[in-house]
Amino acid sequence: MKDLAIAISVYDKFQDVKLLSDLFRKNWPGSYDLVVCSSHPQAASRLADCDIDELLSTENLPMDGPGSSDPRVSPRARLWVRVIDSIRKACGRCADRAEAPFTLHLHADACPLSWPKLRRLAERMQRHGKWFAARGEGFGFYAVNEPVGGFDDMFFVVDNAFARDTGFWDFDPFDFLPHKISIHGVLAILGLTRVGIRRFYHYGSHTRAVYWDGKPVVLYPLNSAHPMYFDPENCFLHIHESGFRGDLGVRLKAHYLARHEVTRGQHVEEFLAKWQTPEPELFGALAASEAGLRRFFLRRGLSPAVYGRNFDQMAALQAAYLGLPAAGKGRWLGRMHAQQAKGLVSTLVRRRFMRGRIFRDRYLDTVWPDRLDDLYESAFASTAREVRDFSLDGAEFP
Amino acid sequence: MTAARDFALAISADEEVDDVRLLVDIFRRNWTGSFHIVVCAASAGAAAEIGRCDVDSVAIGESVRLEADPREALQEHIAGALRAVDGIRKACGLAAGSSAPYTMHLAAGRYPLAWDPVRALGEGMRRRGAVLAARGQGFGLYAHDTPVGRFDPAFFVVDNAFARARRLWEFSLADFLPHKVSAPGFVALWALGRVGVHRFWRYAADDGGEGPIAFDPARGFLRVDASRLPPDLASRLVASYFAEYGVTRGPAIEAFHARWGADAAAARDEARAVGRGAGRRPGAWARGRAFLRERLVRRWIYRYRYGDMVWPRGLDDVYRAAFGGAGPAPAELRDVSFDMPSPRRSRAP
Repeated sequence: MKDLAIAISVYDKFQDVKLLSDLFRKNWPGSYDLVVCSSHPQAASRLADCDIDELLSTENLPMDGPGSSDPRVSPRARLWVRVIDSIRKACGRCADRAEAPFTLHLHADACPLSWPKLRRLAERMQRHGKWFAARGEGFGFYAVNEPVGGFDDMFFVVDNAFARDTGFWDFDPFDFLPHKISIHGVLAILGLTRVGIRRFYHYGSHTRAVYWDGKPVVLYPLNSAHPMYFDPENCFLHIHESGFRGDLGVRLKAHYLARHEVTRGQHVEEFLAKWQTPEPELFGALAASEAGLRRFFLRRGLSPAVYGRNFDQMAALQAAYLGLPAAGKGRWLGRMHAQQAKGLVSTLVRRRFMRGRIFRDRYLDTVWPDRLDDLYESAFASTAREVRDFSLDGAEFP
Repeated sequence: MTAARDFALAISADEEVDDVRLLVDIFRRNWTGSFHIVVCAASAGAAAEIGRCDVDSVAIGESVRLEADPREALQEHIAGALRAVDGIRKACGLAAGSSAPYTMHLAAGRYPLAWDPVRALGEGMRRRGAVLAARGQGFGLYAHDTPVGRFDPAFFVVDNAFARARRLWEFSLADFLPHKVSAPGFVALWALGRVGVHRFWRYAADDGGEGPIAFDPARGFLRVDASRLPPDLASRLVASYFAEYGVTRGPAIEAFHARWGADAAAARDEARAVGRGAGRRPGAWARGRAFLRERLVRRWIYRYRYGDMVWPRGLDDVYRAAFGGAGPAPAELRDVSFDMPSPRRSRAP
């Protein structure tokens, strides 16, 4: 029996998978069952030199091509379907292989950095009879895409015996209204309906996560997971490398690996040799990069706080502005000021006058009395027929 | 060896013993099949009375009556949702253990008037490979109490073998967020989370319980909300439908006809008048609100956050406040935590 099964969902971040493989195989003392799921056509050849136990591929689910132009469909709906499919396959396979008592799910850019702390999480689950452990906003958080709560789709742990006995991963990717509900929302629905509150261990939240410099991460409605977060209580790291300017994201990842003594293995050694940077130099570069972006907005009378630490969005706005002619720059400034003013007014109105009043009766993402089948037919038109051969409306079908 | 029953009927009733008697007479004396009848009553007294009817088993629901004065809307919502869902899980859970292949759930004031449409629902499910069939506004209607859709908590049919295999009715009352989700929302949540869209059949639309009377002529399903009708009209109306469908046999039904059966035409006329009243043009405030919602706010302010958000406060506080100074809550709800363990309060779950 192995200590833990690791289910990794990835599209093309194969370098990250190799680092994870080295982390588990060469740096941690336990034994692990590694199952990777990718929909990339060259996944097998790109992971040929990676020490994993099994590689799975996802269905012919919608990912490429333009998303739906229907405003009732989330722009991220196609991505959500793919993620849901990958998670159910990777975690379901880990449960079926029965090599370990628990499965930890990761995306390739997520990295647990302490085996004792991860083992402690599993031990707590065992000791307290918990079947599912996750971090996230919880069951009191309600948004369009998370209508009964939200939990992170990285770093959740599932009891494999429970998953096998109850058919926990036995569902279809379209079973959870993917035009609307994100994977974070799906985990909350699964937590309520298939696990139950008593067996669910809500062990952490972004309210306890920090950035590299120790500042707390921004909270909803800003993106708490972007460009990175570190959960110090569990030593869980997530870095979206392209969310940083230049190679700062990769160098930051190397910094965390080295700091937590993840230094062994061919892929890790090559990675550290290339990217490890002295802390003062790295943190200085990160601070300078952020200060430059913030200065750009402040000098134009705009608030950088509304972007949190979404550096790639800030950089894109800056680049767009700098590429404009003088007249275009004026229009851009006017538009940006109007946008920020609108955001401020809508926040005030929402908090002061509307909360708990106007929208207690019906949500604005309601599709009724329109038909969901029409919505799905157009939003997921590129999906294989057998995958979307179902009806959400039903009543008017023979 | 006892022959398998044709269908199971699971009835949730608070104290409406007379309604249960009528339903039992419908199934035992007016329909041709053999039926397994289960009732979940709200109190031991009601259960004892119902036990004297020709039913197969009786369960007693959780005591969630509230005594706080004045009652708060949240407490009332929680109590209503808990009673309804507890009735569903207990009655349907008992019925799932019967020899019948399917269970239809009913509540007081809900009358299926003919056997053939009910049998046809079971056959339709078998043909489609569906394990749960319900009517309702569907998975596209989102409100704070029906966040993933809305289905009628009565007249839904479930495959008993599936319910047993997947332990469909084994859950805690906390597991559907009763401070927020109502019984119609619970059916949609369970249909998504426990059943899956592929195995679910929405067999009809309905009005979402907006009117006091709803009749589905294709299936003979009648819903009458007596509390929203003039005195006696509900009973006279039900009697008229019983007569129309030839539901005339059985001691409770015969007594009911004797008392309420006169002048069915007048009862229907009065019901139509009530329906016309309900369909009146909404007032200026309602129209203004709808205009604001549709034109100015839709796809803007509330596209991303709902008005019933509790986060970042704790749900446990909501539940403690809801039951503070109130009547008894089920222990399974009092001892539960929805929130992350606080590092200040405890170090482990």
